[in-house]
Amino acid sequence: MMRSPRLSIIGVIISVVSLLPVMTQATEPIQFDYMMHCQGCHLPEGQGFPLRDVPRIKNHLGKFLHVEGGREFLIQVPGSAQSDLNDSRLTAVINWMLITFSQTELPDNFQPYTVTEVSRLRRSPLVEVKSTRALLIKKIEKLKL
Amino acid sequence: MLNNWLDKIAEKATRKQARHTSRRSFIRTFGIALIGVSVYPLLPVFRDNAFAQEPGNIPESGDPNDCNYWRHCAIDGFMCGCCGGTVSSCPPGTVVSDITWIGTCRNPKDGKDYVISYNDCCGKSACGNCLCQRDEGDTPVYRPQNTNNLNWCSGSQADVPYHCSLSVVIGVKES
Repeated sequence: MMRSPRLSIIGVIISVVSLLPVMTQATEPIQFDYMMHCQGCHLPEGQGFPLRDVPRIKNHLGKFLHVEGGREFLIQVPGSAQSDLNDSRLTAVINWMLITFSQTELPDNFQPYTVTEVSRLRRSPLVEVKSTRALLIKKIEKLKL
Repeated sequence: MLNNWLDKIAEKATRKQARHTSRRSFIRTFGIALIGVSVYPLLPVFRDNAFAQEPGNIPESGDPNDCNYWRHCAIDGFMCGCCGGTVSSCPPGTVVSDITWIGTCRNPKDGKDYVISYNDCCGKSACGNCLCQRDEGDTPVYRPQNTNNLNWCSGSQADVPYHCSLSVVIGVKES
């Protein structure tokens, strides 16, 4: 018995669609900025590399917004403040990272960063990066998020 | 007597074994094991630290082991394709440095800018074949995110020994 031609046409369509190259679609522009300015160290899934002191972003970044000084820190940290990205692109990337990598850790009243806020924060540089971060991590650990 | 008793058990077991197995069963089992062992390496196992994830269907032109190949536009090192690996996979005995630097190269075939990850392969001494230094868009070391003059292996599990460099496509820039 021959198989129904309609079924085989559907089969062909499904296989062609599933084989369509991912590459024909351009990388989403905010993700492109993440790739170019962050991913080299923080890695594709934001998993970081603790063995070489690269902080984890995945399921972690949002926790900073729960503690005092954390919101400022995410912009003032050299990787953000000193990146080649202009204020609006940095704002977009940081909001994208929070939502993409750390949605579940975001506070209920999460407000995305605004360009004016980012612009103001990155102009006051952070000198004691390590100790500031350690202090924030301590505060986060106390909250048991 | 003890011997008698042991003999009986042994005889019983041997006869039972003989009743339940054919004379060729050993050959059969051995054959299956032989095929199994030889097929095992072909199974699609997860080989972490060997292959970089790369999307398919990129229009290609040129020889990946030629320094002028489009993906190598900002490379500074030995091309892994000449060292027992490929343009996107490390040679055996080395591990890929996860931490790396990322740039773009224009593909002459479709005129698009592709995002290239220049991972180093680490853990063995320098390969020495096919040195390629093109440095397009390379920044001075005081902008370390985009410099090819660093030994990125120092951020890998294998630490400092540098062997060769990959040029892996990880995205396309919106045109």
